[in-house]
Amino acid sequence: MASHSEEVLLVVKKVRQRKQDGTLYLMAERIAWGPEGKDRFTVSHLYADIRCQKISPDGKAKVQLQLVLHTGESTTFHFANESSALKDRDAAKELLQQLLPKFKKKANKELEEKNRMLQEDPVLFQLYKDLVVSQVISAEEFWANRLEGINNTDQALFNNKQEVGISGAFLADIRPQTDGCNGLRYNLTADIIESIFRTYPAVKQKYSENVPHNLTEKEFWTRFFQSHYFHRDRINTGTQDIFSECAKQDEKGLKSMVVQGVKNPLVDLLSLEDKSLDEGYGGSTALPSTSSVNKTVKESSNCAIIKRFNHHSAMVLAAGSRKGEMTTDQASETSSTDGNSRDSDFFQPPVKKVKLQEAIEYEDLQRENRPKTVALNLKKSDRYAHGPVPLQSQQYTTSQDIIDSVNYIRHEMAIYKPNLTQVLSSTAASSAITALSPGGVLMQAGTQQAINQMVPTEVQGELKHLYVAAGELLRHFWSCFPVSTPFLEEKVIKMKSNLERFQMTKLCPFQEKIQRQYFNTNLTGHLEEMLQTAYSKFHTWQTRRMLRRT
Amino acid sequence: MHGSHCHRLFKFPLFHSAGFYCCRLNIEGLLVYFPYDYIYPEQYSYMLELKRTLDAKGHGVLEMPSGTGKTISLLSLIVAYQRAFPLDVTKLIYCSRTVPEIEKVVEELRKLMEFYSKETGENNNFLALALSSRKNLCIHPEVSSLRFGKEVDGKCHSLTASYIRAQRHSDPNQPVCRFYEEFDAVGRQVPLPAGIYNLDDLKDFGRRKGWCPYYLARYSILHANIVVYSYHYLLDPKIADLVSKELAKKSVVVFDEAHNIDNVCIDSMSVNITRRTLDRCQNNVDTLQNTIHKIKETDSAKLKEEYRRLVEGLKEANVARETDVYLANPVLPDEILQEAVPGTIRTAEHFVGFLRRFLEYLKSRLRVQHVVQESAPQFLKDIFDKVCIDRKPLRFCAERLQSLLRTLEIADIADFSAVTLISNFATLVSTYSQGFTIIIEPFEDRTPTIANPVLHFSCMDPSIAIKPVFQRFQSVIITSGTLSPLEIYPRILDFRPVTMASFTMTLARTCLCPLIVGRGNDQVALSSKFETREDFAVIRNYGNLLLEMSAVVPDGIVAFFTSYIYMENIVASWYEQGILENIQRNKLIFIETQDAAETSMALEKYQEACDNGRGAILLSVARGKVSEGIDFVHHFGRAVIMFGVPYVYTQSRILKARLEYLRDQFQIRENDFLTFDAMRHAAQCVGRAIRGKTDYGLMIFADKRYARADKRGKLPRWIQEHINDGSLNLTVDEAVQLSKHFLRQMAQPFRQEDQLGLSLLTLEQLESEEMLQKITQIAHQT
Repeated sequence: MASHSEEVLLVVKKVRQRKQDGTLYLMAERIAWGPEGKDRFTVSHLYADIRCQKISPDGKAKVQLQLVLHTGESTTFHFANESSALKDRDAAKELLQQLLPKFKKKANKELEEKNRMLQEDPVLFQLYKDLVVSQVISAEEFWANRLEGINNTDQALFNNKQEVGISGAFLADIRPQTDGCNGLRYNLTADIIESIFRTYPAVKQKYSENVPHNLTEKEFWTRFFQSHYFHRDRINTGTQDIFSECAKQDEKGLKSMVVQGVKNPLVDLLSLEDKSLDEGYGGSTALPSTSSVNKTVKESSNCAIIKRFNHHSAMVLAAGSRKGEMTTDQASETSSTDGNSRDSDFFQPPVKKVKLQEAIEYEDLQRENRPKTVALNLKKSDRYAHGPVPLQSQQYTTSQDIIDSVNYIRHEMAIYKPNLTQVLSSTAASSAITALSPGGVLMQAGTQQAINQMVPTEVQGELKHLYVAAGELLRHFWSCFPVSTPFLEEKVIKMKSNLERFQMTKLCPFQEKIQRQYFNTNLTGHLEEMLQTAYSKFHTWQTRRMLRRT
Repeated sequence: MHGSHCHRLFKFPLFHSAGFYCCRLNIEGLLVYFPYDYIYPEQYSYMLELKRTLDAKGHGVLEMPSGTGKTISLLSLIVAYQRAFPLDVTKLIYCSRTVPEIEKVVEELRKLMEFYSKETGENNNFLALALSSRKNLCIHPEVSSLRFGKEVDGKCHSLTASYIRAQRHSDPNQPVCRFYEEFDAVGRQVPLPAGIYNLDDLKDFGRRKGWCPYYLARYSILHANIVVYSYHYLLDPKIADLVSKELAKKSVVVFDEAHNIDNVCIDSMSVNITRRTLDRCQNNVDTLQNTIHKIKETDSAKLKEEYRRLVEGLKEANVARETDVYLANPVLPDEILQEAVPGTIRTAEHFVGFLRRFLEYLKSRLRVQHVVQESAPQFLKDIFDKVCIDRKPLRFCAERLQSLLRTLEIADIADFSAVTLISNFATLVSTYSQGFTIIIEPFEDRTPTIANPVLHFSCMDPSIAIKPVFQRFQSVIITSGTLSPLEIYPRILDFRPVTMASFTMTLARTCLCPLIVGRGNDQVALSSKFETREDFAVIRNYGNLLLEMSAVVPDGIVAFFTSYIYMENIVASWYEQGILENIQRNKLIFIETQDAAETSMALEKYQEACDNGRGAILLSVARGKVSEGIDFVHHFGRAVIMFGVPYVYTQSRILKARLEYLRDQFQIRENDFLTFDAMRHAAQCVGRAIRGKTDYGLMIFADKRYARADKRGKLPRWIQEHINDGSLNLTVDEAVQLSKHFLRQMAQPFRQEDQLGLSLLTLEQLESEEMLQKITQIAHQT
């Protein structure tokens, strides 16, 4: 399996797995473990398959690292090197922490795709249950040739996939739990950390500056949650807090955003008033708040909350759109930093013109010149508006498309001429149909009676599933021929044993059940016939191979 | 139907050309070009009323819902009127409140004019232009880069004042503004070519010609057919005297968005003096003194010349050039004395001494321990008793200072704002004995321990400032989306309108949904009234309302609070209770702050969040800048929530004085006025969400007091008529259910055909007898 060389990122010796000593290898795409003295891996997981890692609490005697896979299985490694167990484990953990998120997206994407396929296709789902859940074949084999299509065709789609934004409430989602003894526990996931980093680049910078040289990761986040930074109503007081600098940076960012001003002149409150009253004039309400100096603590903390909310929302919004607008943002930034207001003057009018035109437009006063649309004809519009809506993804076509295609079909129908030279005569056709109907000439060999008269519906259903499952397995089997590569060889042998296993675990019990209940019917004859054909094909192939080898 | 069709042909044979679509309307015999294919019935009705007002050469008060095309109706009719009766109406002066509004009006006008030339095929020689402050029109590279309007004005003055330009003759290094020089040299010879000039167009034109757009515009408004500018140019005497003095009497004046016009009037004539003002004033006076000394040594002829002029009582305006009249008299033109400056303040030194005495007197007045309230005559008597200052020299104070500043050739007048303010106050207080009050407060009510004395010279009668406008111009139209109750405006502005009408919004579907939420789910009565303001149950329920709404309303929600402090407290307590965090799961939160720049940014981000589908909530304040100037069209505001009734802060002494005055002079009860004022702001807030018939939005009044008839009855008719009895005292849950239902219905496609014949008319439909009958009902005469 490790035939082609892989880059090994980390080797940790003296790691026990299932009470066996061995060595843990972290490679570019997978993590593997091999028992001591042997040169092959008994455990190997692709990073993409790993859902998360867990570590044993610091105080425990055994230093362990557990990997939980997407399938639900888990593997535990015990770091047994007395002197450096903790260090070893942490090294492995850190590396995994960096590696896993990279693969996560891909894995998630695949998982999602599989999920979607299973949800959308009940037959496939049943097949999955029959074959994978009952362990006739492994999940990998099941998906082996189904996902190919997806991965290839959707590659383009995958690449320019829209980036998922950040929830506005991600900070609120970190619910602290009390740990019983006057402390709080925060559970951080990689997603939340990413959200924090994306929304507050200043924190990310602090993180990369301080972790791991100055602080451990845990200390860093502890401080983060203790800082005023996380608690918006706390006013910046301490200077030794590493996050006070972040706050200052945020403040700066906020200020620069404010100074830059807004692009849409219609929302610029500064230039709203044409001529403001001079200082000293005006009624009572327009009095400038002279008391800003002597604000109470409460008032300024309220102010801080409001500021922080605005800032937070702006940052979340910016994080969501950062990728796409990077270029345009930079463009506008440069033009506004190097130029004075005259510069922006020249570049303002287009936005302004458009906004003004938008503001004075009355679309309903003008004659409509848009493409014609088809009205949705609802019999019970109330039900449409208030009834339950199934969660489905749909591909919408525009009304114009529908109209066009209807017109096209209408046109096609109008000019349709049947091609009568190539078809059967009606007598020949009807005789063929009778011959193929139950009781007809060609249907003698099978059961005389229609199956629905012989057995109850649940048995029919079961039989149907068996057929589908057998069909799927046989498809896999036959697709191996001609057996031209060692891989196919391996596969055909495996598929043959799969078929046998299927016959043993699925078909035979069904057969027995049928015979017990409806003794004289042989419903599975055809299935067995198909399996036998496969077996004999396998035998001929095997004997031929043996001959060739010898 | 057939009958009426034939009838129509006979009745209106003249104006038919374009078949079914409206573009040439017959408004009681006046041919009106209307630049759209269809028309709303209320627009027709509005034009009808407007025409009757113009015919009668009187004033009118017209309320029409925002978003029903009020501006284009106004412009279409008045332009048609001007074309039909060029001798009766020579000019339209269109006043609006904000710069974007002004620019919108000009753009609509452009659209109308383009339509005219398309339809008539001739190039009409109409000149229309917008006028704004120097800040928005200046093209001088250095001056225009300044951030604040005051700085721009000051810098401009320092480059264009007549003595500066005179100095340049002897000293070519003296910097002047080349744009003004160029304009002054050739700009007045040929009038501005006909056309529509928005602010940017004026700047472009100015750049092309090398002329100053600001002075070009100020010069051109004299012969323009239509002028669009802001209220201040007519209502603030300090500016009106400079800019609008020579506008023709046969003009039609329109005040759009006029629901707050009384406050604009009052603000323009009120003065506040703090200790800081006086300190700065002291510095100004010292500088004046020093400058006089210096000049006396070098150029005493100048001072003598000034003295001679003052003796002869020459009016400054005759001598001064346009760029010099930077400071104008703060009182109304008919109050300015046409006589010579009294001898006691004629020499420069005497005047400075006079100012010193006045200043000392003011300082002593600010050294009070308790609140003082007195009338202007009382103040004058006191000042005479204490420091022997007479009324007459006080009245000339502003004018005398102008003359002095000019004589001393002080370039940067912005530095002298404090002494200007004081002398303006002197002139005002000695000119008006009625309608003003003086209140001296030693400290702010909230911080009684900190001495911060303020002298408020407060105008209580808005009719004073607007009176000359009504007297001078033949027709003044006051219009807005929210002017209810209509009858109060003629009373507080003291004029007699010939037409007063409130129009409804004809709707093919009920696109606004006013709901009054009076109770929480736990039956706690919701109200922002003083007693329950701090009540946690109310605050929690308010939070709950917002939270629930954030889950059902798509895109944008705007919530208004009654005051900034109230909002701050509620936000803090929502934060503590974790309500804001839960709201954040549904939408982003943006909050108005007291800093305009910060709020602008929050607003833009808010719109961005609405645009990209994330959805956002804007927490804002009634009477704040957002509530007065920003529209939340379509998805920018699918729901407006008004938390509480936005009463003005009633403990203020200025307000109390004003209420007393209203009661004594206009027989308006205090409570009526307060409720009127609160409701017009509430209506303004909720009305921001609806801009047109294709738009839709929820209007949630979260206070049980809205259910009372005296409150509800003061909402505009177009909102009031959609409040049904079932939605008067809803719980939060009920409101959410109703909202869900409403939003689902509104989200269905809404086509033009659905509106046609009901809320949207073709020419043919418009002229059917039946429709004309209906239209008469749209206008609600009062």
